[in-house]
Amino acid sequence: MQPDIQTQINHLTELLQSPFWHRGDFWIFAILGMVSIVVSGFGLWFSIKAFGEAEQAKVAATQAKVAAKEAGKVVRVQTVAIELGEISQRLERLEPDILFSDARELVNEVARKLLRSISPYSEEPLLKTKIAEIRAAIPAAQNSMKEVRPSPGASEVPGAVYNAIEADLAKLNNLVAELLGLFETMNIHSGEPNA
Amino acid sequence: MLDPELRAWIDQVVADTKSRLIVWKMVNPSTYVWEMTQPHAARVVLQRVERLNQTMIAPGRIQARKEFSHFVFQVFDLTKPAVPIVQTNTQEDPSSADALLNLYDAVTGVESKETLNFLNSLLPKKPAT
Repeated sequence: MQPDIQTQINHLTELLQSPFWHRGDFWIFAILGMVSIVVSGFGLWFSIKAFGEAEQAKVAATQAKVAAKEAGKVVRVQTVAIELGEISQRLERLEPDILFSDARELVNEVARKLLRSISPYSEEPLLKTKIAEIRAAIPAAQNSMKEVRPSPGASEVPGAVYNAIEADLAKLNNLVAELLGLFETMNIHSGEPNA
Repeated sequence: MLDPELRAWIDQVVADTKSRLIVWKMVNPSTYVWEMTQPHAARVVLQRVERLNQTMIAPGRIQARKEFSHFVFQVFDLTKPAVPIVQTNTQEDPSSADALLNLYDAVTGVESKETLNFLNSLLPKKPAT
């Protein structure tokens, strides 16, 4: 029994004294560990790359949204500018012999179109004051119309309506022209970032 | 500058209006017309034009007051095209303001008296005491 034990002890001592890298299973696990590190590294790299691309896509989408919004603003401002130009032309066509019903239609149409066009911009700092002046000039013209409403049974006197509203509409037209100028300036400013 | 002869003529119209030799007709709240067929077909128009005076009391806030008015005086010969043979505007010719204000007061004064006479005629007659 004694020599067997001694042999086994010698064998164990020999095993313990030999370096672990001389063992095959060490290298198997070492290689597997290195492969897993490399795979994890690739995974991490792809994750970072995907995150970066997602961030870039988000920035691009935000920029596209802002650009689309700006483009929409420019188109809207141009539309309003065209409408204001048409209103101005309409106001210039006031005839000296205009009768009450035609003048009432003209004033109401101009008031309706003007208010519809300028209302969205009433708080715009650049336009606020001019829009307030226009809003005050519209009732002035409508009030002047009341002063020439034909009395029941009376025939109209050509020129009376013109005398009553000509100055009001001329003033309104000047204000519309000034507002149109401001809108055109605003249009250029809005278009600059995309120019 | 208002022609002195035209001024004298307007003064005569004022006098004739007050004495009711001339009858004006209101065609709208601010315009009176005197029309005749003899000795000529003619029309005389007197119009008061009111303006709203607008003042900015704060940025974006405007106060409007009806305070400025002027008169337009026109005489048409109805046998000729519709171009006035006489036209005076107190805004362009302030010297005519007094004469036209007198005329307007005379026209509206007569109208007010007629309205008052009509209202009085509606009251029941009181028995003589």
